[in-house]
Amino acid sequence: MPDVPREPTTVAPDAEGVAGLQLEAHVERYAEQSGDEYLLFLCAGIPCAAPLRALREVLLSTPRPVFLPFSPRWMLGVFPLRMEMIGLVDPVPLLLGDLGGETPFWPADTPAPSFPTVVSSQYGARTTPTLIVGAPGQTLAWLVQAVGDIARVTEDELVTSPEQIAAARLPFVSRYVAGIYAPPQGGQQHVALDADALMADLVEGLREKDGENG
Amino acid sequence: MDNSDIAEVFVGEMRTLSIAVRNHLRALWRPDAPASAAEGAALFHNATEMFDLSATFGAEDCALVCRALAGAYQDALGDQSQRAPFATIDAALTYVEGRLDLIASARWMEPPRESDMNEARRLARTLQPDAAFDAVWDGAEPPAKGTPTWSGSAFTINGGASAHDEMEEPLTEAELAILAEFRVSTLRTGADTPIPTGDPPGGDEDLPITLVAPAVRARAESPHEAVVASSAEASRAAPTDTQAVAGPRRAPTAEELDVIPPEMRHLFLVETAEDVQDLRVALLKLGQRPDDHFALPAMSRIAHKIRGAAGTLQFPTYAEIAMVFEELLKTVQQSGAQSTPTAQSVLLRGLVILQSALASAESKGDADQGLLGQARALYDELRATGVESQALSPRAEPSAAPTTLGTAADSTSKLPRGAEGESLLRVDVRRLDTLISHAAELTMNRAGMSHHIEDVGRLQAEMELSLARLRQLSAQLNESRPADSPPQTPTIGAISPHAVGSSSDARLRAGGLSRSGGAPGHGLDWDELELDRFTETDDALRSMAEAIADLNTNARALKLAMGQLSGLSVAQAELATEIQRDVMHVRLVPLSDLVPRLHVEVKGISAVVRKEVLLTVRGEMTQIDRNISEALSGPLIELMRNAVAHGIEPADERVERGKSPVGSVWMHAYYVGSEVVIEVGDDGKGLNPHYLAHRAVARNFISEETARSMTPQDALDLMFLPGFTTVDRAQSVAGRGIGLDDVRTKIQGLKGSIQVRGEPGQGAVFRVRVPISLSVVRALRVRAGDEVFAAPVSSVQHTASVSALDILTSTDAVGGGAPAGGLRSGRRLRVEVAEESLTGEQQYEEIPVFVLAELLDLAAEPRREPAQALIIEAGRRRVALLVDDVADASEVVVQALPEHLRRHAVRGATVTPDGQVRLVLDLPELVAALREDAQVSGAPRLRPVPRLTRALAPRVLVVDDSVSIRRTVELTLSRAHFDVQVARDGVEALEMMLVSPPRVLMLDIEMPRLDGFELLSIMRESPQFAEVRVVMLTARASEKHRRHAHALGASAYLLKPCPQEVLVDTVRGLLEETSAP
Repeated sequence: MPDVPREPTTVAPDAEGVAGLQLEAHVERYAEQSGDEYLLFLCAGIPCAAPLRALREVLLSTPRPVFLPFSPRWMLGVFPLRMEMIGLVDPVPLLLGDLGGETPFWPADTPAPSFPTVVSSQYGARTTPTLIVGAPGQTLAWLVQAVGDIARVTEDELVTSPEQIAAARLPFVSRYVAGIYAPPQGGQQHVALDADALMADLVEGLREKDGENG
Repeated sequence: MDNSDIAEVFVGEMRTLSIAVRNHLRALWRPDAPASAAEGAALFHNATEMFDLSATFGAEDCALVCRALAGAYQDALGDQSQRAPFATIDAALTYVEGRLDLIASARWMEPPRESDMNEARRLARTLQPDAAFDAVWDGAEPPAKGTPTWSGSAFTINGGASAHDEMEEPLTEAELAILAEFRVSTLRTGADTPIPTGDPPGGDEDLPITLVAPAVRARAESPHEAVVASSAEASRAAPTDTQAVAGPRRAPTAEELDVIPPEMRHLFLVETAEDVQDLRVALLKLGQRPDDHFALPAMSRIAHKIRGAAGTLQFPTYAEIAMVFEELLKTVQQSGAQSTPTAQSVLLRGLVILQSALASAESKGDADQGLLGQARALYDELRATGVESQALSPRAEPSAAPTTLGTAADSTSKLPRGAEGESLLRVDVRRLDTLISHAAELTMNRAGMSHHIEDVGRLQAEMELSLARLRQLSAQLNESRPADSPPQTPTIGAISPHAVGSSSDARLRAGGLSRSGGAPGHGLDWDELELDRFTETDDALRSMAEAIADLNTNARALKLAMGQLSGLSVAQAELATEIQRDVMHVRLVPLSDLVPRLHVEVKGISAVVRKEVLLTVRGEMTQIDRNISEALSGPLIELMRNAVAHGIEPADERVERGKSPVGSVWMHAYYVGSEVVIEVGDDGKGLNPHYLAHRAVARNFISEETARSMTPQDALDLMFLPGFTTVDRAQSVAGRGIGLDDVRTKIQGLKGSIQVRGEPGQGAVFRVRVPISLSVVRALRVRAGDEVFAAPVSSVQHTASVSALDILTSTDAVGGGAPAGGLRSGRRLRVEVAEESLTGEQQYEEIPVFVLAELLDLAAEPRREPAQALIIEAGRRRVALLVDDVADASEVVVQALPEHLRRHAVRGATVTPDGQVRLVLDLPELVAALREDAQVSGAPRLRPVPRLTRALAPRVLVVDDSVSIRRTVELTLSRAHFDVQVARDGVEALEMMLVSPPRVLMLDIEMPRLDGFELLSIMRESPQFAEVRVVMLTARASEKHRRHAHALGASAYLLKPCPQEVLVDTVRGLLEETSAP
């Protein structure tokens, strides 16, 4: 297994410029490394990871959305981001496969995992972070609980065997699970999400269907 | 072309090129980008064109400079390090631009003075130190024979010999290469006919040449022009020969097709649409003034230009159609038959074909062959009438259509259009849309800034409160000094920054007192200990007073600055809104753009149905969004066709009725708020509602019973039913039964409406109402439940205050709640109808009532009955939508939602000047989508939609007068995913709770205005707060306070400072208690 530096590269939340510089340094530092970069975040109380290539932006502060009628319950509203109206969605119901009854917004009985480099923690929930995902015109904002580090994940560190994933008894729908990121030296494991699959279902679920009023 | 025209053309072309050169220059010299060979080549090309133009138009000095500029970049193409210095190039361009300004302001093509020439030579040498610049033609190609050149006082076409004669040196290799590459290109004529060489026998239409450089084009298009070389070899072999060596005509290769940029083809389509519009106007004028001998030549020029451009840009069929139209014009012109109805009719039809062909060229890449056939048939028809042209028949030699490029006159068509002295600019609509988006972003950003200013304002208010507390504390300290103490330090409230010296002064004074053994005026009976005590206390108090005074000063300064910032912010908000609105209005075009087409249509139809009709238009300068205007042309033409075909009676019938034999059709346009109303009317036989009802019954559209209960207006509205017609036999121009239904559908698609009124014998009027713009609408602010929406005024017939008594249940309603207009509702609103029924009785309409919040699934809990009703019409349905509040209308800019977020009842979103996002509802769509069995109660058609506030964690209200405590607690609870609100004191908390009680109240005891205990007492008396759990968070640790709090209803009592986990656990525990069954 390659010697991947494990020190957290904390993105300074209070100054975009500083954050940008640190991010740049991070990119340079890992440029020579193999593997893909993943953003670590907390969703449904579960540590998750999504490939950076699938993400457009991270908003540390989510604007308050306005209600959009005839939308599924996990659609929380729309808000303007620069020149685009963005739909704010809670991906948890889809991830958990619970599209029916009233799923609590945050699963109350989910134990909070250890998440040492939570950038947004000092802002609290009023600045609930949001991941901006998707191409322009098909963009959605995923509401998540907290955003953490960016990790470079090598093939060795990503468990993709269906048997091993099944053995982990993850609460997520298997279709949205690309693997399990198991860092070396026994660090916090994260569910690597298949962002494309989740995004496709979210967008499809939002479309107003013919003959259906909502 | 007189001199002023030439000057205008020259300046226009040169400025365009100059701008391009500057752009390339900027790109080349951008410090963050490596020098680009492509940019250098582009600069070189443009400079070459500028040289060419200047030489052609006799601006010798400009030609010198531009040639040197091109040469400098030609030299440097392979070696970017050899580029001339930026300042040198800039100076050269500045010189040329200055000359252009002079020519433009004088509107006269003056030859350069000697001083100009000297300066030009100097600049040229700085650009190309090694070149000789004694004359502009040094080493360059002279103007071709017949090239327009300056001859002292006027610009002549055939007077170029003197300049040529001065040329002695042959072209250099580099210049030959320039010519080979940029000034001559192969032909794209699409046929294999050999190109004739030498002077053409006839006009320019026989010249099968295609050249690229505009100036060369200009020469070739001159009436007695020599053909210019068409191959690089020919150029190199005989650079000074004005005779062309033409290659064989051949079909375009794929590579050649590829080199035409799509934007050029797009530009052609845009420009040709305007040209066709000009043709319409010209034809209309010709109809009004048949003796206008300039009209046909002007039209021929436009047609010729279209033909040339179409051929060049690979629209071969369209080019042929344009050529046929040009032949039609020439035939009519040469025959002198322009005033005859036959000739005008043929030209009209030809124009319609040209227009249709443009549409097919836009959608299919080229015009339909069928249209070409129609055009040729038209030409044959014209010839059959005996009107003969001596020109070549387009039928006989269609493929020989010369696809020449634009003429010198073409350049004039590129000039800005508009009234004299008015300068217009053609802008790509996509650029405009981008600008609109940026303007919208500006509004949004400003809204964000406004929020930050508000935040700072709140912090400022906090600071003032803290300051007040400090003053109070200071006063208390002074008051609490022992009675035998020396005179008190002045209270803080009395201290001004000027009255109090610096702290060092105070200390010195205090020290002085100590050293002297007493304070002045206080006797000498103070011992040292007392003085020491006095000095320390007094010093501390004075220091605090100074600090407070400083704070006071800063607070005042901050307040002032905030006031100014707020003022600026408001001004900027207004400006941003204005910019957005103005930019949106740039898209508006006058309806007059449609008028020529309407005239053409009316004329054409009236000729077909053999009726004499006069079209009158008023309000044609009324402006409307370009897209709406384009979409309106079809419906308006359909209405005109109906008016002429069905409304206007035959002449003899009109005379019998005492009317003029000439029928009148009119269109009146005017603004109503943010909408445009267009009335299309006629003075024909009018409309008979009884007859319409009878026809509807006869054709099983309605029952006899329904017909009897119909109002006259209802009967007239039957005309819009799909398939409904009063004509037994369909005519070619109207009466197919799809027209009015289609018209209404299209107008509704534009978010508009259409109504008809008319009486027998009195003509008919169709009233079309459409928004000025689909992007800028005037909208009511409508509150439904807790949400605020924007509802376009155009979709609301009227609003009304409604009480519960006005609403009929199904048992009260006539017919027991039978469907009305296709809708069934449990409740109805009785609305008086202005007109009487067909049987003369006063009519009431009971329209279905719906609650908007329920339709949108907004009402989470039972609430009071909404008090306002919006009366909406969607198609033939009218319904009342009950809302909680309606506020004044304002203009909003609608931003479309992305495709996956679009909803049938939502037109888009808008951002208000204060930064609020609101959805713009499409109420007619909402109503139209209601199912037949939709009921008021339950709103079964909608899926339950939880709102964000419902989905989020319970709300906690934190009340504390200390900003730091408030923020700390807020942060802690927010992290635990509670929805946290804060209040500064009991009064503010009470106000917030009256709006919406929280689940948990986190309460301090000591607070200004209303303390914690007082608030608790009030809450205990108010049943609406019975469910609110109260946690006291205070520094008062005594058991007495704790007992009192519990006695007043507090559920928990926490002491400051409180560990975060205790805080969170306490709140969670209370919530679990309340949610437990």
